Amino acid sequence: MARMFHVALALEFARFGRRVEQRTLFPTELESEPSAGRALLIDEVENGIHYTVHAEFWKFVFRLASLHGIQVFATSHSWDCVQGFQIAATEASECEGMLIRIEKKDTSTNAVTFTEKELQIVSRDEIEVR
Amino acid sequence: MPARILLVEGSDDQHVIWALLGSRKVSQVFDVQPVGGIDKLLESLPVRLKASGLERLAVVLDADTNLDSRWQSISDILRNSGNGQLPKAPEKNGTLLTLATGIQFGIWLMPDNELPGMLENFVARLVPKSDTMMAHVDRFLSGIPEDARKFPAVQLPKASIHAWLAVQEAPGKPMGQAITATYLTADHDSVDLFIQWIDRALVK
Repeated sequence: MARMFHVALALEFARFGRRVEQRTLFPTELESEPSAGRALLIDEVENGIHYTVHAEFWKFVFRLASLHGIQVFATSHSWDCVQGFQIAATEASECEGMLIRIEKKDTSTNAVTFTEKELQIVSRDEIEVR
Repeated sequence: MPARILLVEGSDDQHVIWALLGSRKVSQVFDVQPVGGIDKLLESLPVRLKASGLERLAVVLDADTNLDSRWQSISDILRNSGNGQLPKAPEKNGTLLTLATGIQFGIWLMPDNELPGMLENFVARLVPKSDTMMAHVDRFLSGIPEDARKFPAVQLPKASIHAWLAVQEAPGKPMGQAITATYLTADHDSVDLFIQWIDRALVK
């Protein structure tokens, strides 16, 4: 299952960006373990994805995550990525999307969360959440 | 992301406030951002309070026909989004408070935190004492039969100030430009209170 997820996602990266061959795609442990109920971590998910196709890319990730029962955690600093994620999250009724900003405040580290509905406002009004 | 933001309903508010800040030489260490209407402003408020790097946020809203219900709706939004409790009523000199997140939050209800009304009621107070045209405007507006008037009575302050602006030396200047051109005076108690609130909420 994980292998299928991995291969399908790799193919999709190839469709969405030209620099795909330069990135290390996914954690290798996915290939060896059954993945249902597990999490996939993607660091700097925007790398290699053309800025015009983030929404399409995320729609694919949502579909695949739902199909294989995988929870995806992706990090990004990209506004295009946030907007693409928002569009896909709104559309994907089978999955829930959430944006979490990790921020340092004084000596503590806080998580600030944005629901899908809040992300629609973020995207519409271009509110800085990064 | 600017750390200090003044949110306003529309571009009229933005230009009036810019003109007042300019006339009073307020150091503009904050952005004045129009949101596109009261509904959008209230809807987006909890999300805007979570924007990254935000230290101070102030909002200027029309009290409209019912100041208490406008106040209550802001209060509900803040409470429901975990931002704490507003005082029972707005402070006369503009409300300021520190939210649970540490953000300094300010509220000004146009025209003066006490009366119902809108930006245009505030601007109407800036018509100079020596003015002779407002009497003509009043006669013009009151001469329009109610069944012929195309806008609801609640919009009369808007019609009045724009009709007044239409008959100035350069007819039809927008409100902000009319302040800069000194058709309207920024030398007024209402402006003093407003600028002092801006200063406390966003500058000092």
